[in-house]
Amino acid sequence: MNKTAHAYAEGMFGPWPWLLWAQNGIITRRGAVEQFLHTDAYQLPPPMSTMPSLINVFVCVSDFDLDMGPTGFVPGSHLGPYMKFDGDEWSPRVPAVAKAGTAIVWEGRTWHGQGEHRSDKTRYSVAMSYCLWAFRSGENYPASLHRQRARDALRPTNCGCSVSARKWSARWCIRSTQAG
Amino acid sequence: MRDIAASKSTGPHRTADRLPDATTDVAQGSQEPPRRTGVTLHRDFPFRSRPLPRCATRLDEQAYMERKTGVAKLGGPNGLTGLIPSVPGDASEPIYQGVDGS
Repeated sequence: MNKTAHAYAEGMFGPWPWLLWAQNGIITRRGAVEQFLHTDAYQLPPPMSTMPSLINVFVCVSDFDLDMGPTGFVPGSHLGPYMKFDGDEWSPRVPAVAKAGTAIVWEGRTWHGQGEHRSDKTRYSVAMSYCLWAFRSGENYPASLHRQRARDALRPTNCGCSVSARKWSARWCIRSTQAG
Repeated sequence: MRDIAASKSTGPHRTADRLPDATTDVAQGSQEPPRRTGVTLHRDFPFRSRPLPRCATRLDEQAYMERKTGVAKLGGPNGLTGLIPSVPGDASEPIYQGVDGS
């Protein structure tokens, strides 16, 4: 529910309505291994795979030093080719080293993966993900909140979704909270 | 930013050799860098009113309670891949933990 994160969603999705897909925190410590290279939007066939369908806003609550396993990216990999892993060489990833307070924003088709954590310092982050409104959210927020809190938080004007999506989601939100 | 030739690999192609410089301008950050690299860095992101150290403490509190109640997502031998469920009352310090609803 962050205005700047919403502005990024508006900027990347353009005219298409969008909603909050999920929000969570991530804590990593020494011993966390390097994550395999992946995208967050690989399941989609063309033509949906040719446009942004998901974005991540990853807020660095602590520093992301090189030895703290910062997320590594393959810059430009969101432009293709369509996912195909056959054991061939992968392009090297570029770690997103950042200071606390920086947000790493990436388009869901971009190949990435967490790095190996070799530091004694703990890495904290909060991730907010947004997807096109055509998709279901990753979390059923109305079901996981107390009824009154859900009513307050998921009013159309408070929803983590675009203005056009709010019009359509208003009825759904109210019905979901009443049912919950 | 200097572009480099795409790899011959059938894996993901890298079209740039570094990530874009951090910005504080959302309009700039959501347009040019993501289109070219898929990634943008926003410096001094306005994240709530509470200080970041307090936010880290809050994440730890949430993580502890999730482990205590057995609903935590912990990293196994493969870290983020193959998450293992926690056990109620578990007080161990995992190498990775997802914290829901922060």
